[in-house]
Amino acid sequence: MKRFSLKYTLLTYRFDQLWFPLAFWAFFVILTLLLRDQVEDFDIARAYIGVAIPLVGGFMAAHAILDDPAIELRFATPIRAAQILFERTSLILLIQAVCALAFILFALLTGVDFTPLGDAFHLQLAWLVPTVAMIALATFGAILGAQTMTGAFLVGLVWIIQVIIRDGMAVNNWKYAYLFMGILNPEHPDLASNQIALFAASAIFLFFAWRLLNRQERYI
Amino acid sequence: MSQFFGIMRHEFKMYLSRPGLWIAYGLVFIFYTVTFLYPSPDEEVIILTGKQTWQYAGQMAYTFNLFLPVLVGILSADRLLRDFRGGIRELQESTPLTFATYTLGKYFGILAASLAPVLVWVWLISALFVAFRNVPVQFLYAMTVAFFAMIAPAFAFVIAFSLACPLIMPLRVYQILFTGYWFWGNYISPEYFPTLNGTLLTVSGVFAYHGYFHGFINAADPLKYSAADATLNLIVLGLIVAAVMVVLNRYLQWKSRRA
Repeated sequence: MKRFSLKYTLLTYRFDQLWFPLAFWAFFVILTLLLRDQVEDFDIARAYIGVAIPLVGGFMAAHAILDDPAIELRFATPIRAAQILFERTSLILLIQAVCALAFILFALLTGVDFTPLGDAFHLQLAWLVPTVAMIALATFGAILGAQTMTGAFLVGLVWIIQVIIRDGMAVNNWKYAYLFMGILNPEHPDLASNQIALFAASAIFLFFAWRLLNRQERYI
Repeated sequence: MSQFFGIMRHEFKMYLSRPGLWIAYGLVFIFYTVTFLYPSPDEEVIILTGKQTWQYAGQMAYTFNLFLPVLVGILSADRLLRDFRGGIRELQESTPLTFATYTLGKYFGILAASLAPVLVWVWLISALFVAFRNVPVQFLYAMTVAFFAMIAPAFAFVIAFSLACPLIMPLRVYQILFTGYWFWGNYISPEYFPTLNGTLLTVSGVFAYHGYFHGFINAADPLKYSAADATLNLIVLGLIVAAVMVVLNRYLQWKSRRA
């Protein structure tokens, strides 16, 4: 039995999921080129990869599964919930990953120094961890509320709270839920615990999203 | 007028019947209630008198404006769009309902539905302050004024854009741009990065906070904005809301003619 159809994915794909991240990428590239300054270039680069990409990924994920006009038809086929979940979220993560890596490459070519964020592995974790967390939160929220809007407002709320009170997030027990620690506080002693906690939270969100997606009658 | 009130009443009920709204408001209300009623142990005990009562009311409203308009902007973004997606708009166009009545009814219905739970909660939290903290009864009145001077204009502004913009761009794109705008346009310092913050287009309520409520209690820095600046800010925001509604009305007429 055919389990995955690239043709179907492309036919039903909403292309704003592709052009908007690319447009956003281009905007930050232009911004970097306009504000040619070593310190500002680094700030723009980390704002894009560590703060903007998780926001874009989160909102895209909130609409990824339930905003499908053929969702009832999909449920009528023997496609498993895990497959739907994987197809839709991994595609979003892939696009965000391409954008992040392309921007890092561009930034390195323009002379941005990423050493304050640690080695290459930690640089990748700095954008990957919050992006996965936002995608997982958005997917879980949308499926839990059976509405794309629930996932969207959760992403918007968590993002704006963490951006505005970022200093407060780095202390007390909030530090384990602080999405931007890897990018804004890379020297924090609890960074490893924070990233493990966020990965665990992402896994839990995706697990419950998968369990809830099995109850197809909720979304019809 | 009966058509206008009919649309407004219907939209009000529809908006309030969404579980997502109550989950969103519930989370934010709990967050703020805990933050304000259970401050950290090292925080000074608040004893408000006279002018400080107004300053503290302004401070609370300014803090509420950090997150509440973001929620409202995201949640109201699909309200007009869903009429088109569900085919309801075609049915509505076959009735004697005018475009202006439709857009204004929708707008004020959503605005009233967004504000009503917040106003009730603001009164509740103010009453708790009066009951359990050293705050005079006058604080209830000051909070009500702060609500209408700072929170209501911010909601009115974001709802106008949230109704109009998703008609010309994908919903999720609008939501991303709107969330990013709220931080960039209201909270990034203009000394650090080019932003709308500090101009008369600022929606956060900082103009009213300084101009009408005299800013932070015991603030070392002088106030940035006067009462005249605050009034001008509210007038500019009101004009922008009116302009957005006019453009939205024209757009719907144009779309109807093309259909």
